[in-house]
Amino acid sequence: MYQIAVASGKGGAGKTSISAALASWLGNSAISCDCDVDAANTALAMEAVIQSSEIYYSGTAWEIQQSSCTGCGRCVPVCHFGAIHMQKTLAVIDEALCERCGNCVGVCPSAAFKPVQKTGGELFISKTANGSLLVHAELLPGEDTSGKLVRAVRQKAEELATDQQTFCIIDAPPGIGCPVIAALQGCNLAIVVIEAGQSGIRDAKRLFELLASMKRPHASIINKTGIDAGADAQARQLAGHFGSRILAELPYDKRFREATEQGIAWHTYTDSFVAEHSCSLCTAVIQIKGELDDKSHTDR
Amino acid sequence: MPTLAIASGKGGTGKTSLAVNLASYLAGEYRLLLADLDVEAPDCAPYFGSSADSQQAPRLLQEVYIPVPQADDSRCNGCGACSRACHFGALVAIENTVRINELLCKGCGHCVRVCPTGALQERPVSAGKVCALSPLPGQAPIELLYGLLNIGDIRTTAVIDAVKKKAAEATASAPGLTLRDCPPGASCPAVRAIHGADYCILVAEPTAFSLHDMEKTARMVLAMHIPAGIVVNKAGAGSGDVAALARKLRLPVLAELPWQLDIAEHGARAETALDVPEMIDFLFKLKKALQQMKLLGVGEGGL
Repeated sequence: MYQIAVASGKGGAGKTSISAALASWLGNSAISCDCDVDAANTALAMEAVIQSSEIYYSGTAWEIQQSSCTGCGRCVPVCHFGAIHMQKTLAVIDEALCERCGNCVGVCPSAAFKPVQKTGGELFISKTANGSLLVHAELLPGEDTSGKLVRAVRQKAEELATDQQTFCIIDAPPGIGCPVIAALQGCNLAIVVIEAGQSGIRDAKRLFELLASMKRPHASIINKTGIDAGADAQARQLAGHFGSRILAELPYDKRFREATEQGIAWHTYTDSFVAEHSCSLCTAVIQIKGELDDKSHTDR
Repeated sequence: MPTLAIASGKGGTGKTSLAVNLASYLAGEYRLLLADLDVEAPDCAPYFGSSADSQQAPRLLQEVYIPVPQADDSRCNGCGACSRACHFGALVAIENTVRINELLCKGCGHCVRVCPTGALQERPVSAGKVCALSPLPGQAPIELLYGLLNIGDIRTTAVIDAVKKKAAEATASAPGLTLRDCPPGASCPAVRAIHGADYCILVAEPTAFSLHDMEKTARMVLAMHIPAGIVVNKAGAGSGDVAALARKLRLPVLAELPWQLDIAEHGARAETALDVPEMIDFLFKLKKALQQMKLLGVGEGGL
């Protein structure tokens, strides 16, 4: 399966809209993966209907049993994250700060720490409006294992894919941290969506640096052009600097948003402006895939 | 003086834009610290002239170090206790040696504590930086602190914690209002960034995506017992009903900023938009709302 990850660094650059447009255009030959597990919107963009779901267990956490805690306070200084404090004569864990390392558990003389299996969220298999499959997930608010859930989503897509599905379209989370790395790992092509503005350009630069360190092939799409000509030029320069071919430039236009909001695949949208931009974008993706395939054959 | 966190759920709804515009607007009246906690994609600095053609250079305040174990193989007896203790899969014990994946280590110290032979010692490994940018004469008096996660590193929360600590130190010596520009999402980086704030401003745009993601973040904020309110950005650009969601969550809508091309243009150039009348109206309403909730004093800003 040929895995294409759509990423951006900055949030709101257009990853979900573009990955949904690409997946819709590929139809049944693609399976989609929404890896933005704490703000998952591909299901909304592709009007997906949930077919089945499973609970995602994020691992072991600990609770302090009040009846066993003697209030000795030994657990407080061993915590490197400041997550345990004494409330009168009882130790209390602040879940927002706990990294679940378990260091506290071993120093407790009264075995007051009780392991609990944490439910981290839910994983869904859905059918999109055009009949293709989408794997997505909802991380519970405040959960801290988003990278692990991203891997679970990608693994589920690989399990489900049949011979017919030759593409996997990955909608990556924003940023450059743990869940982004999990979404990009091993992908055949990363599409960097550069939002044509100072923030979008800075964040895309950090993403290009990450992709270089991960040795992933990439190409670019410049989104929301036409607001500031200077930023448009800088976005092109940035892609050029990192040797990333610009597959398409999408002008800032409310019609793209309207199509996405209505859950309509861009290439079928009644307004030809949206449809044409979308088709040329998708064609350019297929073309660069072909060239990368040829190159890897030659390299071999 | 209180700490206000600016969060959203979905990325790109206008957190940074609100943070820099609100900071610049309030800076005449209040002593103000802006903490950019979106350490994977920090974008406040360019608004204050930190670019290649500017003379103003950010200062490195601190390298953020994680205490990562280092093994002395001559003392390792191959018992594997360290590897069993590590919940992050950062250590593998093979015969009489320990392989350490430094990038996976969170620096919890568990392995070091359980090693019976004292073969593991901690050494500092960088996960990122904390930087500061001070205003030049004639600029709005805003102190900016921001974090930068190293490329390829996954310890986002350690860098966020370090920026928060520096911000707390700064306001301890010179009390003032702290504005936090938080990362998107509702997982650990967002939790860490919002944790400890006195109030959370949720930035929503009227789209289905934004409302879906904001609801999740709002519920997380409320579960953390932090009071919150919503501001609407890009009002009119989208058909989502922010007011209905606000009613459902029982959160107030503090102010609304209409979508306008001139505001977007300023944003694309990393400029504040205080010359746009609608932006000033919006910030005035927001300031009044914050004053009514006693989050901002009236005429006691410390200047």
